[in-house]
Amino acid sequence: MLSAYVDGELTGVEMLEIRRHLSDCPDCAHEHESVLFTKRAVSRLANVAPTEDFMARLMTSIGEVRVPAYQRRFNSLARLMHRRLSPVAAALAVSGFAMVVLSAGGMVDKLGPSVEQHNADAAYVGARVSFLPELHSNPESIASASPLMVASDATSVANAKVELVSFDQPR
Amino acid sequence: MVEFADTVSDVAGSQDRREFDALVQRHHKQAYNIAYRMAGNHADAEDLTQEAFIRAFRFFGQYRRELPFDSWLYKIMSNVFIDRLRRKPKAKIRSLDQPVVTADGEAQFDVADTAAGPEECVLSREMDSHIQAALDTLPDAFRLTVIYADIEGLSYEEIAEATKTNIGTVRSRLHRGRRLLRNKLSKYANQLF
Repeated sequence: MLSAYVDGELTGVEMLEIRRHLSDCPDCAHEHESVLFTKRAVSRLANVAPTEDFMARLMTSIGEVRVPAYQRRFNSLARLMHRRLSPVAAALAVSGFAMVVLSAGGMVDKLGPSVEQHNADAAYVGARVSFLPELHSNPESIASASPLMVASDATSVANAKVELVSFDQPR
Repeated sequence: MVEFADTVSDVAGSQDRREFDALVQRHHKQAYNIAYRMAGNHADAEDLTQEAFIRAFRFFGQYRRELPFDSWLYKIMSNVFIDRLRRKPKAKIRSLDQPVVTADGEAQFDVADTAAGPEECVLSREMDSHIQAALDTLPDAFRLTVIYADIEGLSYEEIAEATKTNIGTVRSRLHRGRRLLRNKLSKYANQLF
């Protein structure tokens, strides 16, 4: 309670009650002092700077990251969604990805078993549709769930379908 | 059509990279400082910061632009810290009475210049090393909560969101973390304030 008091994380009434209590109770007043002491000790720590060349090395390692094609497409689609494109542009994006979906489906007959495997992957991802909206609302959980995101190009199409459906729903 | 989609995503990718680079430039020092306070040494702080930004870049498309970037980064850093530090939990804990040794074998921390005179500066650095050593002894979740509250100045609600927990847990971790810190630092009370 005293930690929350020091941090100003209580209601106004609680803050007043504790303040009043502290003036009457030496033990609590002492405890309050020690919480303040600890908070100030950590707050006073100086900022630690990285070495001069750290940012350049950081940029280099980011440049070496190979984001898979499906992830890039998913990212660019999510980017469009987040920026709340105009209805016309959104409709174009929707129809564009719908065509991708259709053409990917149509290629099954022409390309044979390997593409069928991609479609099987897409079906597998379709089975996970229920957890994707949750991930979308909490982007960090996507980062922690990265092993699940290993998939083929067809998977990105399936992901795109999920996003397109959710685009028209209230958020 | 697939080629067209690739072209679109390539263009978006290069735009993402430019936008991301600007965010790295703006936030890397803040992220590094948090990482250093979590890890207690420069080598691990570099690794943690790098890992956090790489993870952020991979999933940058899912970052919602209307929210502050640092709020999103806090969440990613929390995950990275817990993942990485759990693998080597006790390696860097040291006694308060031992001299502080950095990755370069030096006895002092690399801290920003202050307006204080040379003597005060040395004392201040020395005290920082004691406080850092005390922080190092805390369990990871307690340390992260204390850093977010007292160094970053986040509210309980923001900490709860960043660490994927509830406000009651944040309150409890802070209370227990500060109590542990106080026990470690009480002998320096006169020098601190």
